[in-house]
Amino acid sequence: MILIGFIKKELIQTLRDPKLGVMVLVAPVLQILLFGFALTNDVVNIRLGAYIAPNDVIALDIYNAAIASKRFLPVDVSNTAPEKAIQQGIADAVLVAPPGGLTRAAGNCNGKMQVLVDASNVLRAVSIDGFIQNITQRTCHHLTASPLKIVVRTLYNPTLETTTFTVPGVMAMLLMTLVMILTSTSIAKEKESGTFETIIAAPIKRRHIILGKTIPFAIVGLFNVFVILISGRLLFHLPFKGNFLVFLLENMLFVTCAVLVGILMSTFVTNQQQSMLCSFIVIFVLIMLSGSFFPVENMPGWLRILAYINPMAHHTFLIRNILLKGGEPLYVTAHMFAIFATNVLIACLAFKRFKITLD
Amino acid sequence: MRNIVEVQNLCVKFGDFFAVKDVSFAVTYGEIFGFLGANGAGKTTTIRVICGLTHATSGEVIIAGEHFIKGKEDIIKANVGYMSQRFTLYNDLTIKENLDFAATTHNVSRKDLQRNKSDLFDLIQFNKKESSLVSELPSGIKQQVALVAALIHQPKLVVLDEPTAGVSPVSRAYFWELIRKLTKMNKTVFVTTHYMDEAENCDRIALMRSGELIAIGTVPELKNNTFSTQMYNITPKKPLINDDAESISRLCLLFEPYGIHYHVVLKHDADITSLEDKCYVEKVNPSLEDVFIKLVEGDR
Repeated sequence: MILIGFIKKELIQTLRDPKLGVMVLVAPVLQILLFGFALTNDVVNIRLGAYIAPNDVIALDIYNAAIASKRFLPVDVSNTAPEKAIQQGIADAVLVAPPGGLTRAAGNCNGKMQVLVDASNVLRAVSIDGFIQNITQRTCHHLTASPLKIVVRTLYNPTLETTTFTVPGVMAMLLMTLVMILTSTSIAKEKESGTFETIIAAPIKRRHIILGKTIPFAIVGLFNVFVILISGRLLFHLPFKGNFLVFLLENMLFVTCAVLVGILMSTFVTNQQQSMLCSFIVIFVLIMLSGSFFPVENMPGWLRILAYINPMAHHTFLIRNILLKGGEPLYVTAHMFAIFATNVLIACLAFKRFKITLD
Repeated sequence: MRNIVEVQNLCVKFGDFFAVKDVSFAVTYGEIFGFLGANGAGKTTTIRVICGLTHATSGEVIIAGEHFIKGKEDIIKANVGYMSQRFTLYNDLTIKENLDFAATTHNVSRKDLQRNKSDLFDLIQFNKKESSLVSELPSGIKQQVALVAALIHQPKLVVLDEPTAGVSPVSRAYFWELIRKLTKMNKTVFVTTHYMDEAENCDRIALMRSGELIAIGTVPELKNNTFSTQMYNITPKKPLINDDAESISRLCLLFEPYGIHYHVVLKHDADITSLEDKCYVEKVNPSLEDVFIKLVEGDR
């Protein structure tokens, strides 16, 4: 009887709070959806570029067979150097035929074609290598007397270290989780303990409260950027090929974003329990759609659109690009602008929703 | 006499529910104004409107001559010191850190902060270390620190929402001494309380019931207006059985237990001598609690 009493009371309390009730229902549905669609290592949507002369029949056959396999998407890299195309994020892999063409080289029993692969995502790079080898074998075994050789050059992570892919993702995840939860819970705590009432009884503007809550947690977040970066460098020998100031500026933008998400979330909750549950759901969605662990390119189209409006995805792309590829200016600018635009949008929403009355 | 607070036809509606319904009253400079009512009577909502924490649905609130309209909130808030029910201090900060923060939110300069703090510490005869964490303080001291925080910007009006809830009787008595001292410093005190003995300290009292103002006046005025006939304290010679209680209550306008006694007010045609065979009877003056029960809870 005692146990039943406890169970009954806990269930009533959980379900009676409408916000908690929604979260209890929303969380599992979101998890099932995202785990089902986002959590897949089935590598698709590989952007494949080619440096092949129009009369190079064998190389074109390989390229066309790759596109026909539906795993690859054609991209035009004719105006860019192959390495640059990968650094700028235009292509995931580029087929580079030998001088004079693969057809001619194959005729001379020297059929070697180079494939440049972006190995900043190790799992994807290994799969691309396998696919190209397979397609080449299937397409060309009857065409040439001697077997063709595909030379794969893995860029940005030649030793194919998994940590080089996962650590930047973990950096993004830790930063977002820590800063967002700290901000949101701090405001929820003020509401719960009643100190918020005292604050808004003072002649204080909404911007004072928002900035007063934003700046300290942004400082904490930036401090954590250094802690995480130093840990990554020392423990996992994470490369740092980019410009430190660009890295710092990008992290400042992202930390601001995390704080703003925390403030916006705090406008939907009234206590710390709701704040923690809400953070759990939001963080889960942001991480799953960030490409930190499961590549965005593998997701279905509609989910990819959501991923591209997720600031954490842009941060993850940028961190990998800056650390592993040296930070290609055009790529960095485009993604930093995306985070900046998201920040402006979230700030407007947070400012509109943040009330300095108890209405 | 000038008014520091003027509330005119104030209504606050949440959905279809009127939390405050057409309430009008005024508070003059320098008085202790008590605001009483049962839980849910609309006291806290009215206080929140006065402090700018909630918007009124209709009606007007004027504080120190300023209308509570958009753009003037800051001027009004600068004249009001608010201490909420829960002594809202930060438990994980020290006394000094709490007061520094309170001063910052009211834009008090460092020099004024030191002076105000010193004056207020003298007022409350505070002798704790400012470096003490608030979480380590007993309720009575927290209450005093919260009062200092509410007064740190030297407001003209001090709004105290159930300031003595949850503290010891000794601390309650001391706190009311402080409230009286505040009026000597030209502060006006607007206070809500559930303790009727405390409310007797107020210069004037307003009584709220179900969002409406049902009475306002000095304590003697309220007592006289509520009980125009003599009140008696009766003590049963033997414990009253149901029939006895019913027969007595039929003779009375008011028949309320008061400890082991009863406070009764007889109907005009009833004779007190009819009770003397069952009870000891003595004449008494009505207390504020009697007024409260009659006016606020009488219709329940």
